[in-house]
Amino acid sequence: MHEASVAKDLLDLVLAACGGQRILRVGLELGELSTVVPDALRFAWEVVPAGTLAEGSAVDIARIPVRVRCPSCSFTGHPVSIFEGCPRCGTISVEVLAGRELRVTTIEVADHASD
Amino acid sequence: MHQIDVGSSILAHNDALAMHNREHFIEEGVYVLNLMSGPGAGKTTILEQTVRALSGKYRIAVIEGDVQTSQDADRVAAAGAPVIQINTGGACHLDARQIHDNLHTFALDALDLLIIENVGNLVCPAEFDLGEHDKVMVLSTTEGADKPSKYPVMFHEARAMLLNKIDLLPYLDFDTEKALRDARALNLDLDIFQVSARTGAGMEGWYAWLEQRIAKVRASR
Ligand SMILES: Nc1nc2c(ncn2[C@@H]2O[C@H](COP(=O)(O)OP(=O)(O)OP(=O)(O)O)[C@@H](O)[C@H]2O)c(=O)[nH]1
Ligand SMILES: [Mg+2]
Ligand SMILES: [Zn+2]
Repeated sequence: MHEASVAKDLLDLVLAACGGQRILRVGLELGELSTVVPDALRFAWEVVPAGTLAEGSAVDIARIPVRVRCPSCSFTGHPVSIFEGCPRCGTISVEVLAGRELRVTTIEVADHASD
Repeated sequence: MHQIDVGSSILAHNDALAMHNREHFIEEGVYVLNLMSGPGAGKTTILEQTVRALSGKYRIAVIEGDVQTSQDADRVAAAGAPVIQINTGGACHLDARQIHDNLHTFALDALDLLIIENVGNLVCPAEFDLGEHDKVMVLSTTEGADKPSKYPVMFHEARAMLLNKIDLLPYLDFDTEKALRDARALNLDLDIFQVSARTGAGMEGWYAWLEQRIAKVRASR
């Protein structure tokens, strides 16, 4: 529901990183547990960068699956769901190692204003 | 065309501010709670009761996050605690900057307990650390027992959960066992209190828990 405010923070980040060059593409990692909805973020990204170097840029979203660590048997890997707990020994309340990401990985920028 | 590695979290800015808030809270020895739930689960009612029950013993203040109105803030003020109202202007959660902007309105070192009522929403508040010591969830019997399994992130993060509106159980088909089982499956350490903020049933356990948490933070001041 807060994709517009996420898009604004994202815009600040990529504008700070782009070295004054036009931004063509933004690469994101979005964990399966993140509350951000990919389509809503793409939609917000069509509007939020208007009038900046990121206007018209594409956004690539890579979903990151949930990975957990079991505190009892040290299993590390993908659970069936975070509800099922440890797939090896059934321990509940596993530690979440991955799946909460909301990160910018790379941006693609134009070399010249004319690109 | 070329690529630039960025590698930063979009939430980094919020997380940094939350860490800054947390340093303030630790330094001043005030225990801070982030109270979260879906709309209407009973956060403000629980706050009113808690303020009434504990304000003779502790110095309590409240930050009210509300999309539009000051109704919740007025209710808590009437119960006897200083309140700051943050209107999120349509936003679905509070963020660390809003908390930081308002921190210096309270003399934090003159407080024992600061409770932040987040915007009623089961999704978004989980993503925004405010710098609190603990997140506490309220689930009400009228929302249905499926909420922990449908909104796992919020329940996963919480330190305690109040199951509120138990006075209505006779009129509902709420499956208490399922709700508690699902919440515990997400979070083994979750302390659970079954309460009615309306009748006061079960609230003593919640107050005792709060007193313990306050004492712990005070002791390390
Ligand atoms: N029967 C019953 N009603 C309750 C209880 N606690 C709260 N309510 C009622 O539930 C409604 C919503 O309560 P609030 O305290 O305003 O809930 P809230 O979570 O602060 O709501 P928002 O801030 O709008 O998300 C009010 O009409 C309360 O009187 C309870 O324990 N039992
Ligand atoms: Mg309220
Ligand atoms: Zn295991």
